[in-house]
Amino acid sequence: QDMESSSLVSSAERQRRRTLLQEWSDWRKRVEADLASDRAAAGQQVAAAPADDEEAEEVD
Amino acid sequence: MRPILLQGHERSLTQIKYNREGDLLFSVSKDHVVNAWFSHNGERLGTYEGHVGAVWTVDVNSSSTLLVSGSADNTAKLWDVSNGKCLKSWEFNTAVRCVQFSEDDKLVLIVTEPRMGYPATLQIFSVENGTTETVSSEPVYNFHPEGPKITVAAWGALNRYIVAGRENGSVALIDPKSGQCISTNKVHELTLTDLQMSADRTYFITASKDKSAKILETESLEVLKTYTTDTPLNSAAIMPKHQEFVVVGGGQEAMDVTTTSSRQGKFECRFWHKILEEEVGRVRGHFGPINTIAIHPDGRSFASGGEDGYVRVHHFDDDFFTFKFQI
Repeated sequence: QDMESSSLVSSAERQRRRTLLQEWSDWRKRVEADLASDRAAAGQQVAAAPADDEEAEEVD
Repeated sequence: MRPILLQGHERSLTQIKYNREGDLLFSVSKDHVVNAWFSHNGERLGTYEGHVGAVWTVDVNSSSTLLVSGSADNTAKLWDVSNGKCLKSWEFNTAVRCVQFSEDDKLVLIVTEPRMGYPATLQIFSVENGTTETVSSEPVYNFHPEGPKITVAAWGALNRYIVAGRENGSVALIDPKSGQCISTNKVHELTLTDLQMSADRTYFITASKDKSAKILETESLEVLKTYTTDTPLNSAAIMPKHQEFVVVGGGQEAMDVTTTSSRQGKFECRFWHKILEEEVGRVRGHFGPINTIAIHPDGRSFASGGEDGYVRVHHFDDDFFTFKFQI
């Protein structure tokens, strides 16, 4: 539980940290958007089957 | 941070796992026993008895109704969590090293060891809701993965991939329908000892005997972060909330422990900032190597299982949640 003291951090180090955090944040946004899209597509496939069947029945 | 000690195993812990809500903690051990505990107070809820060898691996489904365990007795067993009844026992030619429910709980991944002329297998069984009618006796898929021995494995998001960690330090992305290896990346110098997915399974953390842990993107197997320590690692876990931390643990090999003090053995859970790759703290307590680490789904506590036979549950103090790096 020896949490690091963060009082003596150089500006260069703070800049490095900001950059790393921003890069991670950007990557997470991209990956989460891709996954949400994939999940929606997978959900639509499951939901599409009965809807298609209903349409087919109506046509018949 | 006062730990709760769970004393219910007579031999070293091999894996611990929280359920989805985090109210229950399951532990398996070389003593052949699977235990269930209330995570908030360490009271033992029950014991699942039936294995006749070391239990290497355990998982619980998302509704906490089914438990699966894998053992050196060459079986994997499916249990009813609520009453401890064994619903199914699958028999194999060799020891079971890894089990895991798929994201939708419908499938169970089981990895068996190569031994005595039998090849390693990666098998997938259907379990659905765990009723006798829906649990398959035969695997839906049965693959014989080529290459170095698989030591750990996990499902990716939407069951699109299985990620396998190998004895030679490589990770492989495997198609769960064909068994084909889609891609591989040798990310460690020595055996992979643990592989835990992030909450959304888009990335995962590995632990290795090469004294490092790494975060990799699931789809590309690209190494995103590396945490280098001074001791062989047996487990690594990702904190899901509150802090961008990972927790890693390990220590000197069991055969050397008797000649080593707990301090020299480096039996500590080490906290690293996940993104900045800087160590931020350590939690001591075990008297032997840490074999397994799990973090509560709400990120307010974590548990470690050791070669010393204890599970230690730690609830974080308030200052843990307010800790911030200077940015």
